[in-house]
Amino acid sequence: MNAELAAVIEGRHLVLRRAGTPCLTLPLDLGGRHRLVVADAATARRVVSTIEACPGSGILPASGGLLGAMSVAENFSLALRYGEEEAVTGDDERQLVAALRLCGLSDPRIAALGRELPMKLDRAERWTAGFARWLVRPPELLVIDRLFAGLTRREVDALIAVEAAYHRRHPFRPVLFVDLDSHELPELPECRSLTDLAESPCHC
Amino acid sequence: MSTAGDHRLGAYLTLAWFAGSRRHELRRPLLRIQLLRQIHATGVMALPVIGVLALLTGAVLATQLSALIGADSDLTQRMLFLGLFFELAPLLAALVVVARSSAGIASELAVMHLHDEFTALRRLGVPAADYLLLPRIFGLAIALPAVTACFQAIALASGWIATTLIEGRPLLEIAGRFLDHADPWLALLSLVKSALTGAAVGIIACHHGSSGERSTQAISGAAIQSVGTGLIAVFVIDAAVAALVWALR
Repeated sequence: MNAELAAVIEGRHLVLRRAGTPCLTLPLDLGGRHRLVVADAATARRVVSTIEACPGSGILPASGGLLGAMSVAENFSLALRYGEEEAVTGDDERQLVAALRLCGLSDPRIAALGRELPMKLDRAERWTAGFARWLVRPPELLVIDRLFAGLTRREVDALIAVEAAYHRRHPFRPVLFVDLDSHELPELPECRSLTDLAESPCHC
Repeated sequence: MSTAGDHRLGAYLTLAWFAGSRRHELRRPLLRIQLLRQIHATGVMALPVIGVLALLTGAVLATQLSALIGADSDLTQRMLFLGLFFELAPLLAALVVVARSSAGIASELAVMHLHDEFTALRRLGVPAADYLLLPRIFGLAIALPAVTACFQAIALASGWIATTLIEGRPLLEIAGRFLDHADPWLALLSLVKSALTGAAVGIIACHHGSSGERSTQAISGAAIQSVGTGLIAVFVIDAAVAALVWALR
């Protein structure tokens, strides 16, 4: 599993190669869920960092990818407006609130969430907060990194339902789930492709 | 040992060059907010400690010198200016900032490094070095001269008041005698020295906070190293400026 990985954009496809051989070809403008199963955490990290190097990809780790030392609102502000001349505009704020509503959060919870530190949120809510910002500014390919490890079935169902909002809102933006080869790996509804690097290492 | 020292000095200089070449990034609103936060944390929050230290140092030094040499003596006024105003005030202000902010910055960055928040920042689309290091380095370079100026003002005022109370002379007369011997260029140089010291302390703290291993032990290690090296930098810069002043005279 230590073969060299490379990811390139070819036309409108992302191609992941291992030792020069394509092991994943992902259409970038057809939307839908895709899954890549890997054998271990080290491989998952390598795959994610390889895909991350491709322009247009966005990574959403299981922790939500927010900074623990600043509030959720400051995280949103940083993610959405860094480099802009103004602070978060009313339009951004409305889009964020709409995104958080799409994720199933109630208005009082949304109002309170902005002031809280991500470290103090439970894991599912932290992930949802991180996910909401991709709902507002979707990447060409969203990579969801090892979301399901250590979650209960109920939490998994809830997060898959949250993730469905992304496909409703951005039907042509694909999502790639990178998961570990685990016996309790949950089914992904309407998954368009499954690539199992753990099972068929010789092909890659 | 010398290789490690050379490597570390090289890293400090690289970081200084980086900060200098990227300073225009501080125009970004979100970086300006971070800069103001750092100035508040380093400068405003240090004022109570600085105030007490300056009050006691000024009063003790002025009364001791007056008792030993006499308040009328030119030597007393020169020693107050050069010793207290030019040397001691920037030095003690820098020591307070090293003790408070250097350890704080290094451990904060080390915790972020441990939790992989540099990567998280990059994934938010924010250059981690710009966002984390620039406001801290420039925040210290701006806050330390301000803290030094406060120290100088409080120490002088307390010294004059103490002399007035002990010797029964008018406050304006004592202040006037001091100002007769004060050199405005040296006063300015003391603030420039503080700015240099602040930048050096910030660079050292940022380097140790962001470049260590990702482990819990590295957090305390970063704080200890940044304080230790920061103290050395404070004294080296102080000695270098003193040598420069001596050479120019």
